[in-house]
Amino acid sequence: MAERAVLDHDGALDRDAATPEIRTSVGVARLGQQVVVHGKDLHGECLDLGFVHYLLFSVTGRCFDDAHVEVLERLWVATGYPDARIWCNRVAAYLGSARVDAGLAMSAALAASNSTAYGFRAMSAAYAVQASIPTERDAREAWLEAALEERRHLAGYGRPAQGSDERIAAALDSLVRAELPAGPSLERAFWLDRTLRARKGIEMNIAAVWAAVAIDFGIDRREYEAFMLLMFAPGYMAVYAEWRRRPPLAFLPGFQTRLGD
Amino acid sequence: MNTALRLLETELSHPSSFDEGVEAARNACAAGASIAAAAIAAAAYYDNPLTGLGALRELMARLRDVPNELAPWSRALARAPHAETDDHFTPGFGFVTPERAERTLAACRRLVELAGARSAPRCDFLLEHQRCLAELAGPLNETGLAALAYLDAGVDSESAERRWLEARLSVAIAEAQRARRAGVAAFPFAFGRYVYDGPSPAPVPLDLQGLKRKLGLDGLDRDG
Repeated sequence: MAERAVLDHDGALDRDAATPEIRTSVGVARLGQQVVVHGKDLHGECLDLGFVHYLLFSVTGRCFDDAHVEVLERLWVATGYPDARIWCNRVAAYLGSARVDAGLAMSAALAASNSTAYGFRAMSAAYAVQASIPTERDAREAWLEAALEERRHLAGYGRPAQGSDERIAAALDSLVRAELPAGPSLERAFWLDRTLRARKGIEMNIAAVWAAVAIDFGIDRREYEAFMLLMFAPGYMAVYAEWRRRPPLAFLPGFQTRLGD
Repeated sequence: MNTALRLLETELSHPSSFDEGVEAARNACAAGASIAAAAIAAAAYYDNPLTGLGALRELMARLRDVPNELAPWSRALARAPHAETDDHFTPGFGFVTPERAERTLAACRRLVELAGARSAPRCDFLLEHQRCLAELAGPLNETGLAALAYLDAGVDSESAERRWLEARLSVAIAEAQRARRAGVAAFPFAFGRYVYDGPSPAPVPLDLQGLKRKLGLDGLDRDG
């Protein structure tokens, strides 16, 4: 009989089991034969999905219709910024310039993007904000009053860089092109934008739109966190590739940010 | 710990030794990421073949069995194109400003004084022949100094990699924490000059207000 090792919350090991077991319903790679993903034959049924849809399918186990996938893919493309001044891209530029392998550079840029002021943690926080906005108008206004009174940071509103977020128009254009209506979460996101502009002079940033669109598309927070990870990759890799081609260690040589103590 | 190695690690942690790996780690945390991001960014940076682990390993391998005589050192330190990067260099040498090269030599001198020439024979030999070797390979850099110090201390290659990376990461992570405390405002998006010299197409305008209207997001018709 196969035995399983189970470490419980208190650290007690179930000694009945010595043979490790991975039980999963996500998929199986029967090498040399077949790969199954969420019950679909990878090579027979998934190749037409496209990469973004396949990633979404892998994360959620659900297929989405073409219009939704088109919007999500355009959201991704719209934020692949090849500018070495963006913090995560600076990391990629340093690593390209030093001839670090692309895989490590990608890992480092991804890790740097796991930030609270921008990037993945900010995006997750923005999702939480959008998910918490009440549906009913009165409850929503009370929710906002409480948030402002507690001086709660409303992720998805305000921007660490200057200016309005140019990606918002691109995101709305993507919905229009895909002939999709604004969902209720996106409507609430823009209600909050209008209200915060009027009361605090704070504008929404794209993280609020991404989160609201994801909620409207039925993507939950954990799925959202796992799915969105590669959206900045074109920016990292464009910058990495440029500085990898240039003379060694040519990116901001000797530059050190001055930090006060 | 060997006193020479302690001195080496003190030198590596001195602000004058801060390099682009430290700056990469700072940028990784500037916007509030965990120090894990700094560790990943710095570890990736210090995996570089030019001044990182690759150079440390390579120089140690080249000099491990070489007697302290000029001809064998010269052969060992000949510049060659790197197999993976195509850059032409000697590991542990070059990629350093004249000021930094001078500081590295000064550190090498302190190390020999502290340990004694008999306990730091390669460092001592490098100092004795540094002009000649610099002509051949470029100026000694900090990674090169570390390689010589580890060889002199009898540290094996794997231990040297570990010690050197730990020393580098410790500094980079501490600086990343300072960067995180300073916040993203200390790392402005627009710093210095940014010169884009590629073609600039005419921008394709998107009418945000019009799009909001189309999608009913302008707050005029429904705001419930």
